[in-house]
Amino acid sequence: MGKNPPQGENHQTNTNDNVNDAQTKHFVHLLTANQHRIYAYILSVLANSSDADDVMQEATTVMLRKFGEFQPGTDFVAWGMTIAHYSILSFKNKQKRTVRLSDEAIKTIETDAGEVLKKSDFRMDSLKQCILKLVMRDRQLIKMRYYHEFSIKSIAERVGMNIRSIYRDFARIHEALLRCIQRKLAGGDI
Amino acid sequence: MMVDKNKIPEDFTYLVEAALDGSIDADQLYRLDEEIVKNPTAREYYIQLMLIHAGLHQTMGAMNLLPPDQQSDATEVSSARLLAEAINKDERIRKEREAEELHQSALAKKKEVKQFSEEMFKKFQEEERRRQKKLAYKLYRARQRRLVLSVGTLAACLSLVFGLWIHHKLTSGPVVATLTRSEGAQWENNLLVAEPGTQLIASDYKLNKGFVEITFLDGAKVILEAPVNINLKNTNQMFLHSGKLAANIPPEAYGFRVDTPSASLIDLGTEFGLNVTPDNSSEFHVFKGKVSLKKNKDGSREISQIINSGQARRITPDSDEIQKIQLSRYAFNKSWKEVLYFIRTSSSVEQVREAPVSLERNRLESSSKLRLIHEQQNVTLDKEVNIISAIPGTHN
Repeated sequence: MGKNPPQGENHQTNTNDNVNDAQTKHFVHLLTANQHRIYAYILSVLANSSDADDVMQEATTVMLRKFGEFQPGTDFVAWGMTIAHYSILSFKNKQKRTVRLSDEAIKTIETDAGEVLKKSDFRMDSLKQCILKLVMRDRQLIKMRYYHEFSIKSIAERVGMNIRSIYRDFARIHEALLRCIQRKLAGGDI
Repeated sequence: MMVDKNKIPEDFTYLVEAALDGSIDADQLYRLDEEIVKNPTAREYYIQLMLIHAGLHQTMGAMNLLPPDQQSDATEVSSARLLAEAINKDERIRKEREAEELHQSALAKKKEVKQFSEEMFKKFQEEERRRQKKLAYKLYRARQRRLVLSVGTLAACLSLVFGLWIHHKLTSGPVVATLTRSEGAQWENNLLVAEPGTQLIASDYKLNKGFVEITFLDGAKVILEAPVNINLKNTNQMFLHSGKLAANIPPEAYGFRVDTPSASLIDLGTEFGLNVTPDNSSEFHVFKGKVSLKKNKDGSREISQIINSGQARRITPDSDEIQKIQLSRYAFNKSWKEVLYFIRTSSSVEQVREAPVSLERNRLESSSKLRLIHEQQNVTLDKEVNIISAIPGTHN
């Protein structure tokens, strides 16, 4: 995926370690605008929300620490994905999970992810508008899963449905949001 | 960026969701893995779904990766606020709806309780009405029973009082005679003990059926043949209102007197028969001895006659004369016969003595019956007689 050489925790650069306030604000701005893409990359590779959260946490810390090395005007997402790549490797070495995508699948994902995520003109405001277009029940489901971080099992219990039905609901909601955003970006309304 | 969903398995999104949640099993992961490797369309769709998931994660604020003071620098604050407001509005609506549902539920419950209460009240009223009706009926029945009982009791009391009165009347006066014989007798008043041996006080008596013999304390014996209505005056006097009697007066009862509506008879030592007919006429038949007759006539001179044995007279209320009539010798046979003792015998017997004289002799003789005349005692039979049954006493 055309990543830069590894820049892990052993890479010592005083300049990068001393990020000033202006740099921090700049970093926050860039991260806020692009973290969903970096997070999507991590999710794609790990295929697990909980693992992805841990890795994203670690990757963000590294990015903030090494932001001094980032060359303004270059691709922040590509830089972030490179750091995330090594964070994933580090995580996988620590967590010996057996249920994971195969190396072949991860390789194909890493190959395509950069292209898909870079060319994606996915915008957060479009997502928010599309969320508002959902019916109340779907919005409640989203809130339970992404705001309260309830598990699917917990959500199923709370709404009195079986787990499989909730999975199908979220599959439907995600598809609907994806179609909504794509239509929005294609110039039409929802 | 649009992907062709036809190239993606139907449950692909479901597999992705299961993987994200960590609940995917080995088989499902294998299928997901295979699609990602072999199907570029599915792989691109997979990455887009992850982008949506990441966007939602960030948008909903769960991913607080930055320090709080730095989160305020995030862009698109207005849209985030808009989303937050929408979510809050959802929450409010949900709460309002829940409250409304609770309210409606409470109202429904209240209505249900009210309806139930009304139904129960109606049922209670109905049952109460039925109970009251049943109670009223019971009371009515009880009143009826009490009434019947009261009437019965009253009647019983009255009967008792009447009986006691009769009894008092019958027993309170002086005893003038004794009931010595009784054959199929039925008295007007059932309370009267009509068994032989019953003492009779001076009072009215009415015999409706049968024959009885009364022995006055002074010795006069009178046979009454129903229907007869009499009044016992004293130990040697009586009044015959109606009916028939036959009398045998022993010497000690000399002067025995019988009054009728139209005349009076005074025995002068005799045997006679007397009949008071419905028109209050009196017929006198003298079989033995003599009697003195006296016609009752208010405010006029007294008419009296001595009537001897074998003579008969009639006195009517509307005539001043004492009429002569034919003696009916056997007119009182029945009276005599029915009150005499009957003893069943194995052979014929001979009547050895006449008495009463008016008794029909030839009717007394029988090969199967022996009629013992009270006056005839110490009779010597000409041959042995087997007596099968007899009344208590000595029989020779």
